[in-house]
Amino acid sequence: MTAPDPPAARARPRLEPRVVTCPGCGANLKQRDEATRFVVCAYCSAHLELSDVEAKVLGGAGKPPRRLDYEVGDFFVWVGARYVVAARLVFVDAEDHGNDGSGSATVEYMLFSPRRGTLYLDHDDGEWLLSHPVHVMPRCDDPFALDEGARVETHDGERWVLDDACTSRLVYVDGALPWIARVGDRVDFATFRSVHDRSIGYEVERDSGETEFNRFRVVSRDELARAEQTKRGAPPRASDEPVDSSGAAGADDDPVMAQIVGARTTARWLRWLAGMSAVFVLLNLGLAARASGRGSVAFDRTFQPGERPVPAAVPAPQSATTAAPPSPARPDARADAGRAVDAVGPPGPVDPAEGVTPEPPEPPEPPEPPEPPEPEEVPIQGGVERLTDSFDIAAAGLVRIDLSADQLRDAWASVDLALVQEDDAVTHIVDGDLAYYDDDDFPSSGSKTDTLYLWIDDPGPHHLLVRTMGGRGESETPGDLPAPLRVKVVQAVASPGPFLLVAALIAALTVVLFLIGGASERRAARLASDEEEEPESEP
Amino acid sequence: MTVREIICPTCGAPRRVTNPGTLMVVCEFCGSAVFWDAEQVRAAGRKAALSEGFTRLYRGATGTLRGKRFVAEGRVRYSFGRGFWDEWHLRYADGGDGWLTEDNHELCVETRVAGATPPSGRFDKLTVGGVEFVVEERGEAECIGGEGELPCVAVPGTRYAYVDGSSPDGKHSVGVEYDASPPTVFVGDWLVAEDLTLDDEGEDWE
Repeated sequence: MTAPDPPAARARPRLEPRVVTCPGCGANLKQRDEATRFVVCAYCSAHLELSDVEAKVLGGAGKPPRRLDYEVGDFFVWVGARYVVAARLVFVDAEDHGNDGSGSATVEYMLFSPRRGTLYLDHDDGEWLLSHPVHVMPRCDDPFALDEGARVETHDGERWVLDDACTSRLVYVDGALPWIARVGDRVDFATFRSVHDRSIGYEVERDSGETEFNRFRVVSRDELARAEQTKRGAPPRASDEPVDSSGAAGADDDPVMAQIVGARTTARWLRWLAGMSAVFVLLNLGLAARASGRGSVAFDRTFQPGERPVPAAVPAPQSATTAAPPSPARPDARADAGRAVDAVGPPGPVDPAEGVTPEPPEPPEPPEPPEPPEPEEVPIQGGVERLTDSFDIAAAGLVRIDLSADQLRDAWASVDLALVQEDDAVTHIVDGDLAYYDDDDFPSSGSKTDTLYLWIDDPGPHHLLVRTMGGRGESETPGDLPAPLRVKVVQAVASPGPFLLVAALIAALTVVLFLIGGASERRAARLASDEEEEPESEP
Repeated sequence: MTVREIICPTCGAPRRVTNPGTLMVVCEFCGSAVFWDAEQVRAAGRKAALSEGFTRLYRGATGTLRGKRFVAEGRVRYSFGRGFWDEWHLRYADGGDGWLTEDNHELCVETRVAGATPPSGRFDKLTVGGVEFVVEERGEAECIGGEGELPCVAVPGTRYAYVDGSSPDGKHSVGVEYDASPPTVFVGDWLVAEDLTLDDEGEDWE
């Protein structure tokens, strides 16, 4: 429950701009800042001193001595408050007598917000400075008498170095001011920069015996572009309007502007999200690359074309295709290896020793005519199998097998691999394919490498059963390896797969966000364009 | 609550004045300054009404100033030759009152310091309540007009000399008004926008 309003309380009156009739040309000039004491007629450039009841001509001035970046009536939004360019002043060095402002000059825009007061935006020596009045004083008697580079401390404990001290002369003014400004007025300035940060400054200004103090900061062109709006409250320019906790000033009571601001805000957020998504894509790609590089080499060997199977150091030839006798020491390994190769190649001959119970002899059948002899088995058909030396895999985890054939050209190679744990004959089977062609039809197509992954639960001694085959050109008939093949087993690796998957998903999301953001931006531009085509309601 | 009923001597319009400290009102109908003199209501003989403009404060505004509820009962405008400043008279919910000075849209809340005496002659520094102040401006003020209810008589055209200053740390202000003998001394605090909240902040520029 709130206390009742006191008797003197009343609602805010509707405020109409004060209309001042220019004595020079008769134009009606609307003044919204009731503290205005000085105004330049926008039509005849007469300088008018306003009392509470009349306007008195002080003099006249022509056009600005140079093209000024902003017009009287332009708006800026700073920290959520809307400021109007109420006046423009051009100062030159007082000692530069021939300078009418078309040469080196400082342009000062007085910005006024009925809610927040006055700011000054200065364009000086290529820098944009935004300043506001303060009352903090320097710890020195006369800041204007200091030499350039002198250090001064203010009473709030800040330390400054004198950047420039000069006397300026007003050569041009327009708009409306709460004080009377006359062309030719001289103002002393002492400009200091923070000893810690040159983008922050402090200024002492002396005008007609009155001393004032300001603090300023350098404003980047981008920040300026974000803060500026078009003249007389029209929709913002293409530049983005800053977002603050209070929302975009001026949008509350203008539905079209609210739509524009909303669309721009949406587009900006979507672009930001898309940018963040792109960062995550890169991050996941980096993690994938890092994962790919992890691990230690457990086995590394290059198999040459024409290389025939050699007896392995490990007993128990597990090849089924060569019908090697089983190893009595490792029957399971042999069986597993047999299954392995069964899975990747043609079945081998049946081992008669494998538990076949002889049945009673049957009466002999009449002899059949002998079948024609089978063709002699050529080892190269169906691949060449090799049994590798034993190597250790130290710990359970992911194992990567890198296949590479650097000299592969206009040929293909296929590799079947069985990784066998020698203690308990656990076998993992994988296969890889390499093909590389480089001709007019397919320049640099295919790959000379392949990467395979296995998850190993049982560390310990392992060996590989490797079967290779290949062919040249477009031949589909398997033959020997067409080029040396390097097989490298890397243990304790991390798989890049999950990272690549996440990267792909986020990349897709990024594209979607960009597309939606672009559509939102186009919508805002269309609304702004439609709005700008409408005539201004105020001349 | 004491309510005074007054009749404007110029136009006859009635007016209810609830603040016992009010010494002057500006007639809403004819703009005449009306004040009490020896228990009589008299017209100051000058039009005193100010046009209302696009300001943050307005007569009748309610809000909170540094946590204290207030109503802006009236305003006096002074000219210093090259510009204006306004002094808003605030009545606080606890019964106290004070002045809010608005000069070039800078706000300063001030309180009269009873018994304070500034140095005689021209001075560049003065100490009030143990705080040292540096003079920033001196000049002659002319009352332009007023509106609402005021605890003083501010007759348009009245002139007096003044000295304004600040503490070197920029936090406090001082004002010396040579409108009486001895001069009236006010001290105050410079405000930032967040110190003041109005119940109706109004709208931005159209």
